[in-house]
Amino acid sequence: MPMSTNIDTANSAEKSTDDTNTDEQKSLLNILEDMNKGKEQLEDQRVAMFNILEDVNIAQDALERKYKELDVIESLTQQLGLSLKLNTIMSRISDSILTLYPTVTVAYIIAPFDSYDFSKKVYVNSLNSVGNQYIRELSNGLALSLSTVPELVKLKNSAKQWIMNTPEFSFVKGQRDNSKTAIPKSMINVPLVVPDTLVGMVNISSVDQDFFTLEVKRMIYTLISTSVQTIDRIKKLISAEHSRLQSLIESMSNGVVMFDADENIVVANPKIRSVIQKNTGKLSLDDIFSYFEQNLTKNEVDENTFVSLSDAVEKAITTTETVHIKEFPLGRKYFEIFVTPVYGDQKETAGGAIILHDITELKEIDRMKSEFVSVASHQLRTPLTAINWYVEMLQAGDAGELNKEQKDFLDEIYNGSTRMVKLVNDLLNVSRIETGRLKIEPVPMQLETFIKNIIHELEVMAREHLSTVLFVKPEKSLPKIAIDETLMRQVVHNLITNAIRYSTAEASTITVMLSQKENTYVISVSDSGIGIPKEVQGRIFEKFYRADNAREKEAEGSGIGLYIAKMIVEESGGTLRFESPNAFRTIKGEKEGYGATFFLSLPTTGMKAHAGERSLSNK
Amino acid sequence: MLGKEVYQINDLTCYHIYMNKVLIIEDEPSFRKALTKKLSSEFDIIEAKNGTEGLSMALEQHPDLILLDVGLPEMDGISMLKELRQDDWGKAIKVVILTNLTDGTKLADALEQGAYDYLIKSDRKIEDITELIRNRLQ
Repeated sequence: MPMSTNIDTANSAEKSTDDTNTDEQKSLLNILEDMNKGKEQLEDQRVAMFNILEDVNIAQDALERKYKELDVIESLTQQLGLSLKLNTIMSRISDSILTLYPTVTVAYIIAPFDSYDFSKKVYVNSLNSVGNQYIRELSNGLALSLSTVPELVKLKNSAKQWIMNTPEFSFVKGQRDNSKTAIPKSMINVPLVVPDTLVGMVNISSVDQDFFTLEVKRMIYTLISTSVQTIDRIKKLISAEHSRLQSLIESMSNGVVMFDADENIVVANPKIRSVIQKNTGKLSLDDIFSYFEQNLTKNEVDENTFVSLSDAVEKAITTTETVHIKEFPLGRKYFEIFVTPVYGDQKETAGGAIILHDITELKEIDRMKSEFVSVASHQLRTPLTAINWYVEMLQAGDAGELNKEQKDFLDEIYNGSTRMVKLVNDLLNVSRIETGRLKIEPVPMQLETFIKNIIHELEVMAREHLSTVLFVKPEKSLPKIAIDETLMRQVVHNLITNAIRYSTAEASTITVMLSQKENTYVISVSDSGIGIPKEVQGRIFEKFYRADNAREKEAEGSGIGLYIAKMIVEESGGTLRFESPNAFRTIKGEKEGYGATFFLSLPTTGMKAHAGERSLSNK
Repeated sequence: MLGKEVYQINDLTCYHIYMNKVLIIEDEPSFRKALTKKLSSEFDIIEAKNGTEGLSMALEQHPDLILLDVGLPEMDGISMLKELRQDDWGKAIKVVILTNLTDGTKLADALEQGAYDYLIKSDRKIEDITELIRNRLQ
């Protein structure tokens, strides 16, 4: 055991002589000294170690905080990536700041990408409620920095002034509580400058005087600069879109003006400038309004329904609905005008757009077309009328007595000529209906009497065809209903004459029935004629279409009557349909048919009026 | 057709019997010819080829009824009617519009100017027109 040997040695030394003891004591002292030194070193090391450990702890805290900050930055970047609206971006940034520093209040103002105008609103985002005093101070802070940031020289309207005088506050989070008397003791303002353009200003304030340490400031700048990069990306996207739109608007053949909530013009394309003959210089809505007022072709408008352009703009903004002016006569031109309100982020009206569509050429073509139709029909009718009148005079013996055969031949001429007149009238009517120029003027009338009169008129024709027309009246007589007599006569007349012409039985009966079904009056016309074969039922209302069995039965006919009838009924808000369940073609020798029933329904409120220009030719 | 004017000279009641005078204003020769032929057995017919001629004939000869076309050279029918209505005598004269134009605005204009009837030629038999004139002059 070496240890015990050592001790033994020491003990033996003490027991030995004094001479040898001094040397030993010296060396022992040395050793003790060494040991003390070592102890001190150890202590130093322990302290150092402890210090290191403490440092590590501190670092870990900082690291954790850094992680949290990174998290915030990351999630902010993600959120920003999803958003294209400056407003949303700003509310996200302020949210992130609040996540890190829940005690602060964030206030910001924003300017749209394409202008240096701030929207006149201060957005406040805070987890706490703030009082009047607080808000006043932070707007002072905003205003102060607005007047010192060099980028703001470009501002068109003095943002500083409105922040000081007429600020409107909108709370993103938190609320106003005027019982709170706290005021901000420290604040920082960060302009949001996306290369070259100021898009906003953020103010972060705290009730704590020493809140904004270097570290906090650094963090806030990091957050905001991250956002600025995102905004820059978005701005590029938007400006690409904007310039695409801009060039589209520039090249449009329609005049386009867009204006903001203060009725300042934001966009005006060359077309609108050429319309109001102001190709250069600043353009205001008033310039446009006064041009429209001075150059309105007054004798072409109806004073009762006229809407001026300024009225239209006013109406669009107050009702937030698009206003449509069908025809605005301006000088020698005609414009169709749309005024549309444009909404901001908060669904508030942020201005509007005026679109001018030049319809001068359309009007001219329309005029030429109707003139052509009118002249053509006039030109066609003149010789036909001459033929008819002279035939009539010959028939009447005005040029001497005729023999039977001569009369017979004249009958043929007369029939042909009369058919031609009818065809011309039909063509004219089709043209009127198709161009929507048909005038429908309903007047209250007793349907019963109206139908009875038509049936009475057709009695002669029915007798010639060996048919009888039976009228089934409703049990209780119906109240008067507003109908356009000329038009409705044409429809009912057509239905009954068809029933007579296409009847097959030797003594057939045509039943005309008037009844009420809920909100409609129904006039039905049933016959026992040739019917309408299944395969052509879908085509029967087509213009100029005639079913084969109809051609076979009656050579005469243009195939236009039902087309016109359906158009008239539908234009006036009713319906016209038919049933012909068991119809078949008439084969030679086969005279029986199962007939067809036409149902004409009119709303009990009567025919819809239509302010067209033309009435129908009535034959 | 005969018109009758009754007047008193002292105690004597005088009857002035005359044929009703009808002015036809029509540019289409075949219509003028047909109408004249048909109407001249009953009426005293005078003819004009255009609006200007028609207006001066009307104001000079004071017919009992005017058959007026619309599409006329020089002065159209509606303008002629407007002029006619400016005249004291012309204010009350019976005018029957006879045309082949089926233009709604022309019709409205004509009725506004106090036309008695607006007939579409191609829709009317010549006998119907004669009958209508008889009725209007009764």
